[in-house]
Amino acid sequence: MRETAERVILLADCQSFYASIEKASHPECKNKPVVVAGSVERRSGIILAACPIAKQYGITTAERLGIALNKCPELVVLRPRMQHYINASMMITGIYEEFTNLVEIFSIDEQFLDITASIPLFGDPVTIAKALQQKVLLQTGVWIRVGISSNKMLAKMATDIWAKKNKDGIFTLPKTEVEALLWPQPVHKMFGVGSRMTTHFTRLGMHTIGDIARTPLPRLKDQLRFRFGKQSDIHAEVLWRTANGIDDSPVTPETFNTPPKSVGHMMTLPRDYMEPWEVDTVLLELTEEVCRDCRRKNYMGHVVTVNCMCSPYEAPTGFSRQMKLLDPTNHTKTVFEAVKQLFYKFWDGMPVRRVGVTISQLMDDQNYQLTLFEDQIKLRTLEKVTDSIKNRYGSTAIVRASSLTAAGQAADRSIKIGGHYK
Amino acid sequence: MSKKLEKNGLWESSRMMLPEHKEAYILYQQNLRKNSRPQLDDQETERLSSIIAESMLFRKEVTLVLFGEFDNSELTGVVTKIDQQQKNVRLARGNDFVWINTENIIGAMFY
Repeated sequence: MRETAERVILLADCQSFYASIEKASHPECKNKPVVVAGSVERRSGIILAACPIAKQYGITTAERLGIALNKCPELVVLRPRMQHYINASMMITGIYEEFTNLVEIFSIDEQFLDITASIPLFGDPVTIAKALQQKVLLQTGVWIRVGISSNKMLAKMATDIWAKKNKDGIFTLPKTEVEALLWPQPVHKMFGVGSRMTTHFTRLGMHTIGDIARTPLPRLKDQLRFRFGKQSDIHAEVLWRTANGIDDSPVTPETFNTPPKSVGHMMTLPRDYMEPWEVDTVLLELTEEVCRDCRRKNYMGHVVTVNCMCSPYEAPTGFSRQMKLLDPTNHTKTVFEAVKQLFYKFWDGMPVRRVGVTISQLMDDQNYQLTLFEDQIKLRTLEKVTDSIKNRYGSTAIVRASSLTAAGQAADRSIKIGGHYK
Repeated sequence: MSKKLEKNGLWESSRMMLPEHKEAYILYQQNLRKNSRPQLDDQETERLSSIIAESMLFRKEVTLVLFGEFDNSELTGVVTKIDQQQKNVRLARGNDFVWINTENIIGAMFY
């Protein structure tokens, strides 16, 4: 890393992203409380985003739709349009890239920008942040909040703790001010600390970020090791660095060019599945999706993992188990055999709420092991043909007969992204 | 040292991103790298034709630069036939040969 010159890093966060995008598309809702929420019937009835007006009624993200409607009966509930949000996010990335080529996506509504080299061209960091805010607001209707600092960690905390709360939506947290500004903040405001970690820190007598920062690292490691065991050393160091604002990670736009480590799909079922034939149907659909993804990317996998969570929600049972295949493959039927074998070995018979299939230890699928008793060329050709039909006419153009039964989810999945409507 | 403490490890492990978003971004980045087809002026076209003709007449090995949307490629061989109707050039490479559309040839040189 560059040690000499200090970097200038921004973290730009979109306010109520989905809700803001919807408000831009529905100008008639401008002054109304708006939320974006999934459908209750499909068990995805939670608030995905609430606009600032809705938040004034006490509505929070991830709350159940019914509870939100109780708080605010005149609430405007809109259906999510995931593809539209992805497009809007990409458009925002495009705006950021007008200022710097170093833009790293952290999530759909948060992106890091390294503007160190842009300052001579566009002005000081606050000027750039203001220009970003205006451009994004004008082009997408979204208000962004910007944290400015010398590394990603401090920029993130500058946004979360201050920029989101103040009127300008911009906050600069210089490294020199960490002790004065960051350290007096309560522990739960630190990046990477949730409610459970807060409890642990409280028990250790650490209430502020400064309490963690001032604890010598070896001592912090000892204290956490005492609570979490030997594996916690790395976590301790991450927390200690965060508290001290130490982070030399670069803004990495090319991070997505690295090959994936695994390919997987998971889904929450619209109702609990009790019969084995119902579960088999979704397992086959998930396996087909996973294998099709692999074939498209020219990978074969050697290890199959099956995840399962069973009802009731309050006391769930479930498992996540994996097995190694004899040979790496991306062939649906072979993977499905393994998936079934795993599932029925570990399923306790409780109603299934959520299942997932993943294959990992990926390798190139151009060279594969020939087997004596299987006509692999024929199988591969068959899958190639079904894949090309799906690519051309949509993933529901050709499906297995079982997907047409009441248990089938293929049609529903094809119109969704991340469990919500496209 | 753990991967989490090196390079971008901390942010890689805490990133939340939809696979569809990731794919859209990869595609977007690829398209940024897309080359536009160079427009050759008459002189350059003439120079290329004379090099191709020379290779065919004197059986000289030539290297052709071929246009690609993302990356240009180079092919070396001897030109053995020119099909003016189809606008193709046959390039022999050892015992093998390839037909190349002349539209894709954006450079030619002898080594």
